Amino acid sequence: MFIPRTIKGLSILSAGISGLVILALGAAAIFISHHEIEAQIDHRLQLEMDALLDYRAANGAASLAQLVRLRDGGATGSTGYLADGGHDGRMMLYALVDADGRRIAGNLIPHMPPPGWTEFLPIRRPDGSKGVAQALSRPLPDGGQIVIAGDRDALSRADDRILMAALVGLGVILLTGTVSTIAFGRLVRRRLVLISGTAQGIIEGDYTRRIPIDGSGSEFDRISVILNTMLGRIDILMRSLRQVSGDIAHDMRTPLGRIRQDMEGLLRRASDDGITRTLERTIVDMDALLDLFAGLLGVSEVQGLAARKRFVPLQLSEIVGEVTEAYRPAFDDERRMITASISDVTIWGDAQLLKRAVANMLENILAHAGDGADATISVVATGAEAVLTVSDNGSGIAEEDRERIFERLVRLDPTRSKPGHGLGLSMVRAIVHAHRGTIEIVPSDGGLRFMIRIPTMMEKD
Amino acid sequence: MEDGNERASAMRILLLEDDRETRDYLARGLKEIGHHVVLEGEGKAALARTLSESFDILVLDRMVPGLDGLTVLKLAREAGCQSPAIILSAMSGIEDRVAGLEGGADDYLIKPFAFAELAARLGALARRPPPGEKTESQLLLRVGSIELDLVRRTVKRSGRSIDLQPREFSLLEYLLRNPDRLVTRTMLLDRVWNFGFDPKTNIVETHMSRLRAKLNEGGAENLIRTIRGSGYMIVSSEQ
Repeated sequence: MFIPRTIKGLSILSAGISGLVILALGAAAIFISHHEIEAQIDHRLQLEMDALLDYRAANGAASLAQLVRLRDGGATGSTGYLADGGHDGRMMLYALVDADGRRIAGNLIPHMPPPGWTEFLPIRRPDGSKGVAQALSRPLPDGGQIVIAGDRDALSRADDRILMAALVGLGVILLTGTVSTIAFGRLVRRRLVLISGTAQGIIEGDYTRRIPIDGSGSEFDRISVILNTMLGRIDILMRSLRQVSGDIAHDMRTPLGRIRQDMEGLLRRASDDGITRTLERTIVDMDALLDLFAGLLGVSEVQGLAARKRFVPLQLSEIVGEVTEAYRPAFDDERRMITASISDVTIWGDAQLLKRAVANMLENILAHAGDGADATISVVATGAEAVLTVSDNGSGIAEEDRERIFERLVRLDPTRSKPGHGLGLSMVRAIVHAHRGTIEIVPSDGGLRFMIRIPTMMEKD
Repeated sequence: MEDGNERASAMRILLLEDDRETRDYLARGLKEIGHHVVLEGEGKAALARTLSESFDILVLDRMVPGLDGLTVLKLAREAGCQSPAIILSAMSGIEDRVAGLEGGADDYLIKPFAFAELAARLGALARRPPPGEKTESQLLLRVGSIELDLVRRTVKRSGRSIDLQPREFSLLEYLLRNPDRLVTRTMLLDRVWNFGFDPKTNIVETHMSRLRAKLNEGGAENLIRTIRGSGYMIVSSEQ
């Protein structure tokens, strides 16, 4: 069985069922009233017939003809059973013929029906229109025949009225059903839009967003309150995490800063070469430590997406071009090539972050692609995306490491003796994600090829 | 080894720093290179100073008791103080840096830093010409026999034309604007490449060696000295 899963489907189904019920009720009403009125007409015809036949038996055939003519009223008045409440005295139609079939009284019934009941007898109304009547016909002792007919007009009018009422009812049901479906749908959609808008804001990095509550105490308000409580909790956790990170940064940097100062001070006074070298090396190590720490915090910060607030339209091509030129001499010095093919494309972004991403990728090639490996970098616009490809023809990496190299502190060099902290590509990925982009390693002839896709300006957010 | 902490033309510096050791260390260093230093350890007092006295440069630590350094700077700026300002901060985040620069700071230095770095940045800030004041001397930079024409974008050494890449040109321009002063690697990354981060590859050195080679072609004396562990200095006196 079809069970609708949308509000629209459910509303249409319930309106449809209501409509069918109304139609069934209407049909039943028509059926019952139809039969009731028919039975009443038959009953009246029977009573009238009995009365007339009694009258004939008591007063003779001529008197009956007289009475019938009187009751029939000639060609004036109405014919409907119950029509005009019988004010003109005509309740029914009459016809009386003699044994030879000659009409003695009543001329609104053109053809005499066979004896007994006739359900549909054609009649003429005094105004000249044609109609159908229910009739009771009886043979008379003198060989003649008497017919009494009741116009079925009342019946069909009653049928029409009930049918009309049923149709109006159906219309009202469908209309209210439609209106309430639309109104209900709007209400639900409006609230869902508020909820999804808030969720989107939080996805974008605005943790202060909350779902608006209209105080109606509705189910939506109740779920919104619960969701807001949850968001508040998450916000507090995020804040305290940031606070802790900030505190660690501060608390660690302050003493390290002092140690660094002291060593700098010592370095200036040192006269012994050995001591000088040791101090210099210690300062370098400490800077590396601070650098690692800043790198870790940096990746977390970019993942927090706060940078999106500062995004502006910028030329990705310019940024890639600048960074490529900055690194060209470094490649030249190692007799390695860096080839760039860059076409214009505008994206929303942060120039500093994008520069850092491109720089990290080029440094990754310099440090890890192997001796003499060349780099190729390209920017093309394809539809709604800017595609930045950075590849090298170096030693490449194993299939199973393809996802792993984006993880923090992951270094494929098992001895961990090469420079770096394993944060470069994590930072690249965080930056790409902040720009609503994707990064993947795609197959190439050898070496490593990264493909970064970032939505262009065309796609409005 | 040359000493990067060259003697500077004396400046009156307000130093706001709550950590006594750091404050003393910085003050001693700044005095050694010839500056006058006024010390404050608390934000409100520092603000009062900026409003009642005049300083060539404000050096403000961001996290101090009372008013934080950034607020001190904002309020001082609102009150009309135009002295160049450098924020010192242990907050290393990208957003923190942006907030600092947007808050009216001319430079943002993350703790801990080498003293030479601070001294070099102070020197560069002090020499920054007031905005809107362009004189002929600023369109033609000359140090020793090196001449750089900002309008024609040409470089000559002893009359000989030297063909430079755009980034080499900017690099030389920055050095020439700070003759006989230390400019650090991070200053150059920041001002010449607009890299707000420190790459692992020494892209400054790779460019610098090309610039030197071009300037010194034909056996001319090398005017761009490397100050080990700190940066570079272009010297005006050829021997």
